[in-house]
Amino acid sequence: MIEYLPVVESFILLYFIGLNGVYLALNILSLGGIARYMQSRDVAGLPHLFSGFAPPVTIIVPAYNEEDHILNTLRSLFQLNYPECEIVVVNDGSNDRTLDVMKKEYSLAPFPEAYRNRIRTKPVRAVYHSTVDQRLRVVDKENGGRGDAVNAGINIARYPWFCRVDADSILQKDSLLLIVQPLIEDPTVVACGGTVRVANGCKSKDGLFVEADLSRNPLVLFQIVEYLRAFLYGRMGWSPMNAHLIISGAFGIYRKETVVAVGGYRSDTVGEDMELIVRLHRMLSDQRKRYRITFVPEPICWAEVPDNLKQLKKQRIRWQIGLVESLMMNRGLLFHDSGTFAGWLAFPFVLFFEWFGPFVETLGYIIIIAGFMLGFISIQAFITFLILAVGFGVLLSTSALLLEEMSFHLYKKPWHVIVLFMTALVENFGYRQLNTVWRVIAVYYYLRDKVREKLANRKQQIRS
Amino acid sequence: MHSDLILTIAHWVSIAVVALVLFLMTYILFLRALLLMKERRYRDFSMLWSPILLNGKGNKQDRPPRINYADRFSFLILWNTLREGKDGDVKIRDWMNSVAIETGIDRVAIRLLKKRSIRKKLLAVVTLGQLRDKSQWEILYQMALSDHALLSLAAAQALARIDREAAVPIIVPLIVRRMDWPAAKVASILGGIGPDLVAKPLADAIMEAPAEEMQRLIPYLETCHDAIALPVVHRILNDPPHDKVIGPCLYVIGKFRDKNDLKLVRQYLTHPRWHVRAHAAACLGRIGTKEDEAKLAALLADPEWWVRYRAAQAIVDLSFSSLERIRQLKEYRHDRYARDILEQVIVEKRLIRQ
Repeated sequence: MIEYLPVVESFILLYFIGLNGVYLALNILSLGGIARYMQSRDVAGLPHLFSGFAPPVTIIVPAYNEEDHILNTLRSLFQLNYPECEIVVVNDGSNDRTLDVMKKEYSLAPFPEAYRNRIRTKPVRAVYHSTVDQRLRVVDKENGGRGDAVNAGINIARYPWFCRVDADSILQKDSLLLIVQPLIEDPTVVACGGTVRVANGCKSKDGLFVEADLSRNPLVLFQIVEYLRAFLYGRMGWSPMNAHLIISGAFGIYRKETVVAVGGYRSDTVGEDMELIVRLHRMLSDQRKRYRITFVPEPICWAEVPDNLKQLKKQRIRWQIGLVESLMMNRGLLFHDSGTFAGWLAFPFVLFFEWFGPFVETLGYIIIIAGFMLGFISIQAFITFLILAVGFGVLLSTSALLLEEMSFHLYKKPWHVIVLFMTALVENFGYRQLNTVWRVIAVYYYLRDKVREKLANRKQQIRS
Repeated sequence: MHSDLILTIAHWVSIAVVALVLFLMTYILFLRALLLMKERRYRDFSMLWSPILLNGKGNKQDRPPRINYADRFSFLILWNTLREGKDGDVKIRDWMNSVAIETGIDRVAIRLLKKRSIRKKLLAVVTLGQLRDKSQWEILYQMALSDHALLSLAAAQALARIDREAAVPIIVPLIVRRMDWPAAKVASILGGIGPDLVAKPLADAIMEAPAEEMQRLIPYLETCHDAIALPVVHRILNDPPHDKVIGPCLYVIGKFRDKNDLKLVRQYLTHPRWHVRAHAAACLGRIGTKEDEAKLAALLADPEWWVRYRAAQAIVDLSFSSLERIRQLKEYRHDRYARDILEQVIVEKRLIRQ
C-alpha cells in the first residue's frame, strides 16, 4: 500500500499544477480582456452610439413563492432604461400570495391570451394583463420548476429576445442596455450572460441597486471573493474562446427562436440554466452553425447569497448536482468533432476539475494529513504542500481583486480593499475545503439517485 | 533524491507564490490611490465644464478655459454626452460646436480616427458628424465601407450630417448592400436626409435590387412621399412579384392608407404564403371597408396564429366595427381558435384605451 504513495502524491501534485495552471491562464486572458473592455467602456456609455440598435426584449421572471420579493423586482424592472420591453412574470404554482400581491398592486385582469404551446409546459391556469402598466403580463401555471416556468414565459413572449431575471435579483437602470451590447455588435450571438455580484450589505432603492458595500457576515464576504473569481476570470477567461458553459439564471439574455429550436429549458434537472447553455453548444455544434455565447463583464445584476451554513450547503449541493447533470445530459459535446473550444477545452476542464476534482482534492488533503500523522511525510513536505495549496488559493483570489481594481472598483472605500484581501486569505482555511466536501456529498447524492432510479426501472421491467 | 527534488521545487514555488501575493496586494493599493486621484480630477473637470458647455450661450465673448492634454479625451466624452441631449437647441448646439473647435477637440477626434479601438473610432466619427467637419470626408467614406456594422453605419450617419446631398449617392447603395444595418437606424438616417433628396435614388435602387434585398428595402419607402413610394410598389406588384416582396409592399400601402389599392390588397388575403396573408389582413385593417369584414372574419380560422391575430386586430381596428358587432361576430364563430383570438384582441384594445 505504502509503495503506491509516491504515485498518488505525484498524481495529486499534477492535479494541483493542472488546476492552478488553467486558472492562471484564464487569469492572463482575463487581464487582456478586461483592459480592452475598460478602454472602450467610456465610449460605450454614450447613449447615441447604440440607440436604435437595441432589440425589443421580453423580460421573463419565474416566480415561486416570491411574495416578499416580487413587487420590488417589478418596481425595478419598470424603471429600467430601455426603449422597448415587455415583462412576463410566471407564477409557478406558488403556495403563498405571490399572485395576489401582484393582482393588487398592478390591478391584474384576466386576459384571454391565445396561448401557443411551442414548448411543452405544465398546464397554464390563466394569463393576466396589468391594467396599470401595459407592459406587464402574468402567467399563472401549475408548478413545474424554474425551467418549466421560463418555458411558459417563452411561449407567450412577443419579442425576438428574452431576458431571464430571477425574482430576487437586483438590477441597475442600465442593466438591460448593457447586456444587449454584445448582440448589437455581433449578430452571431445567441445568448449573453451578465456579471452577477453579491447583494447582501449593498444599498438599493425601489428595487434598484444604488451602492456596493460589504456585509459583516464572514460567510457573505467569502462568497463576494468567490463571485469575483468566478465572474472576473472564470467567465472572462473563457469568453474569447466562446467556451462559456454557464449563464447564471439570475440574469441572462437569449435569442428566443434558438432556444425554442433546441427545445427550451429542461425541467428534469436542478441546473437548468447551465444545462441549456451546454445543450446550445452541443446542438449548435452538431448543426455546424456559427454562434457565440458571450457575457458582459460589467456588474449588472446583484443577487442575495445564503448567509448561513445550512442554506449555503443546500445551494452548493444543488449547483454541483446541476453541473454533473448538465455534463451527463450533453456528453456528446466532449471532444465534439466540430473542434470547438467548448468541446475540447471547457467541457474536459469542468468534467475533470469540477466533476471529479472535489474527490481528488479531498483525497489529497486526507493523504497529506494522514501521511504526516503516520510519519510517511516529513514536516517540511507537509508545510510546503499546505503553503502551496493555500498560497495558490490566495494568489487566485488576489488576482481577482486586482482585476476588480483594474476595472469596476465597485467597493469604493479603501477599507473595503483591506477587508476583501483579508477575506481572500482567510477563506483558504476551512471555507474552501468545506465547499469541496459539499461537492463530494453532491456527487454521492447524484450517483445514489441514479443507482436507485436504475434499480426501480429494472424492477418495473421485470414486473412487466 | 527524486522526492527531494520535487520538494525543493515546491518549496521555491511556494516562496514565489507568497512574494507574488504580496506584490499584487501592494499594486492593488497603489491602483486604489491612483483611482482616487483620477476621480477627484474628473469631478473637478466636469464641474468646471458642464456649466460652460450648457449655459455658455450668453457668454460668447468669453473664451473657454484651456484644456490640459491629459483631459482631452475626458472632454470629448463629456462634450458628446451633453451635445447629444441638446441637438434641438440651435443656440447651445452652435455654442458647443464653437467651443469644440476652440478647444481643439476636433483635432483630437481626427487623431482618434486612426486608433485601433473601434469604440474610439466611433467616438471620433460621431464627433466629426456633429461638428459637420468635412475635412475627413474621404476617411469617413472609407469607414462607411467597413465590414463593421456599427462603424460603417456611424460613418454613414456622419456623412449624412456633414453634407446631405453628397452623402445620398454613397448611402443609398450601401443601404442596398448592408444586410446588417438595423432598419430603425437606416430609417432615421433617411429621415434626416429628407424625402426630397432620398426618394428618387432609393426608388431606383429598389427597382434594380434582387428580390431578397428588395424585401428588406421596400419598407424604407415609408420615409418618402406617397407620390413616389406608391408607384414603385405598384410596379413591383404588377411585375409579377416574388412572394417575399408582397408583404413589404402591402406594408407600404397600409402606411400610406391609399384606398385605391383595396382591390389589389384583397386578392392577397388567400395567398398561399402566410406572411402575405398576415400583411394583407393588417393592411385591410387600415384601408378596408365594411365588405372586408367578412373576408377578414374568414381569416380568423387560418391555421397560422399570426394571420388569425392580424385579422382579429384588423376587424377590431375597422372604424365601423362596434364592440357589439365584434362580440356578435365572435358568437357566430364555431371555431375555438377564432373565438380565442378575437377575445384576446378585444381585451388588448380595451386595455390600451384604458
